[in-house]
Amino acid sequence: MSLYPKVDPQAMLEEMSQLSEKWAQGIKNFSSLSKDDVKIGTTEKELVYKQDKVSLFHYQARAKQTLKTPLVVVYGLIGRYTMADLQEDRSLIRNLLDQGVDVYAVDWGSPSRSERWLTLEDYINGYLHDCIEHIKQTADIKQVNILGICEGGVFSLCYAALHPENIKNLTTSITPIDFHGDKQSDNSDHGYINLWTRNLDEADIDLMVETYGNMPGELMGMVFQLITPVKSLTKYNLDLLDIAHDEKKLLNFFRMEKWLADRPDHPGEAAKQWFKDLYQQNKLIKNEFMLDQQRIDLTTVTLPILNIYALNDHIIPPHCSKALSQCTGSHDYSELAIPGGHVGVFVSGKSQGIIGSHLFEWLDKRD
Amino acid sequence: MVKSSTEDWQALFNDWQTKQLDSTQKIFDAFGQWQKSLTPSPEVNEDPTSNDASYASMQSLTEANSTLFERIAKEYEANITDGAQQFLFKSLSEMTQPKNWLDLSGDLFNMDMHKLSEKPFVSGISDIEERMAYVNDSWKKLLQDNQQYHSLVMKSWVSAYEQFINTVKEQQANDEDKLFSPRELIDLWTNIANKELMTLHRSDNFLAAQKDMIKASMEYRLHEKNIAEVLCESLHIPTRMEVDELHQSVTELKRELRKTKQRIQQLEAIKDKPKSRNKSASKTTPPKQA
Repeated sequence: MSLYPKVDPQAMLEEMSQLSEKWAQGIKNFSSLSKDDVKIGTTEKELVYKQDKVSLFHYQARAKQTLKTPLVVVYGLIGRYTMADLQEDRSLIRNLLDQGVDVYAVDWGSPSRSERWLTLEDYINGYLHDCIEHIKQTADIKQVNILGICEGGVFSLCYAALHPENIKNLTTSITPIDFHGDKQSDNSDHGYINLWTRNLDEADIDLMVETYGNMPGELMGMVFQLITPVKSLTKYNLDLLDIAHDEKKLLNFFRMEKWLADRPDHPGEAAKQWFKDLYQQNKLIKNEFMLDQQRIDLTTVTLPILNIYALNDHIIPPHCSKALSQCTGSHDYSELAIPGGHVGVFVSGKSQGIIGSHLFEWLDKRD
Repeated sequence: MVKSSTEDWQALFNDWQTKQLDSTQKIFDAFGQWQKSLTPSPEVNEDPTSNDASYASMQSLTEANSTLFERIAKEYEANITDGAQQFLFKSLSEMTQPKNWLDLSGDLFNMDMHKLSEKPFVSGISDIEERMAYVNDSWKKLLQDNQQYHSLVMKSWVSAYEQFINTVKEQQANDEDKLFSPRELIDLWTNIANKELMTLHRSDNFLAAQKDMIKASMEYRLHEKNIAEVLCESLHIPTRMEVDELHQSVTELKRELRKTKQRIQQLEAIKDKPKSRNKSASKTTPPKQA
């Protein structure tokens, strides 16, 4: 028996013919595109507050305001909030604006070595608190709604525990609460970051921060690529070839790549807390996590909570997010489970509108 | 204490100097002969031994020096009785032996550098050399850990390929007429390879190897930084450590300032709060009887 696979010549010719056509059109598309065509986070907004490298943006209204209470979008320090406004037809922020929600977004900037000594307290009790106080003053309101995404969800939850008077309704999305929840997952593809981080010693985390000052964005990018190693490679030579002929899909691909390439460094001291206190020691769900010498007790978070998670999230497995239901003191807790991956629930075509419309309805009932 | 007199040393030195001058003269003569042999002219000295003469003179000079130093060393050693001076003499002898400092074979060099890195630090002496020894040590470790990591990854790729071939064989064995399309084969390969590598990345061996490699690369980088710190100091440039400390001070100051501002805002908010309690109290408290 031959060692070599028998290839169907007819199928080969057909595939080569299709590929050639796709590639011919793909080359035309490539040559006609420029950097200016690949923009993300383009929904019109205004810089209304800035402190150090942190910026607070206020989005321009796209419809008559329907909710009294503005919504503040809080992303984490890994990646950037622009994922929630990737492009015109894949933008949670636009979806909310179109429904009359007054939206703000916090941009943590691009930390350099000078931000090495910033802690999670600086971000939560410092920058986030000041941003919210600014909104309260300028909008003449007493409370805001908050939408925390991923690490931003942890920030929002901690903020709500420390400053409940400032928050009306809390929404967490793709947010880890139980950082060891991956152990309960049946899907072995999920939770690689949890496993990878737990494999390191505390001294290893300290060593990384000592060496680089911050946790480099490239390092996190490398870990993300380890999750699906070959698929990360074939993205550029197979997936790209498959979609290059379709200008719309090609632009979407490049916009995603632009967002992925924007990997800010995670400030060093904050990274130590994130990886040691939370990922390794899982202090949040145990109510042992300390900020500014205050214990974060999730049972004291009694305001309305909407917890959104992705069913096929391999970065923050569903069990890590769903754990919030068991540890919050809220009597108005609800969940929204969406098919899709970690980022897919925000940027995929299939899930567009789902979060936006559900979130609006939920906020509207509690405005 | 050295027993030999000053006159003895003087005679020894004179003897050495005479031989030195004689050998040097011979070298120059031979060099002149050699140069002439290179010039294309009728007066070219075609003496084929002109290079040999130069070499022979060099050799005789070296031998003369070696013999002389050996004689000095024996003379000295035979005459000193002081223990400290004997120790110093032996140490200097070892250090100046060409075989010791000429032998730069890889293992011996690395072993010596490793020994240096393990020695207690001597303040003010050989600071840069000490740091270089650590860099060398950590580089070796990084290479070893890197190799270990890559050998695991390579093993997985080979395993993935074996699985791919076996899958193809199996499918063809079950169906003799089975024909694959190129895309089918590509998808089969990428799925198998992806699954195999994902399994590898979650294995204890891989996690341990990667952890070691990351740690080794961090330590190497830190030792590199230590060299950079010495160089910066010598060039009057602020070091990384100094800048980090500066940033730490600034961050702490900003933190204090922010907390102070927030506290002021809180106090102002309390001050501005309408005094509603007094009004409600006057409604409920019955007026005093006259």
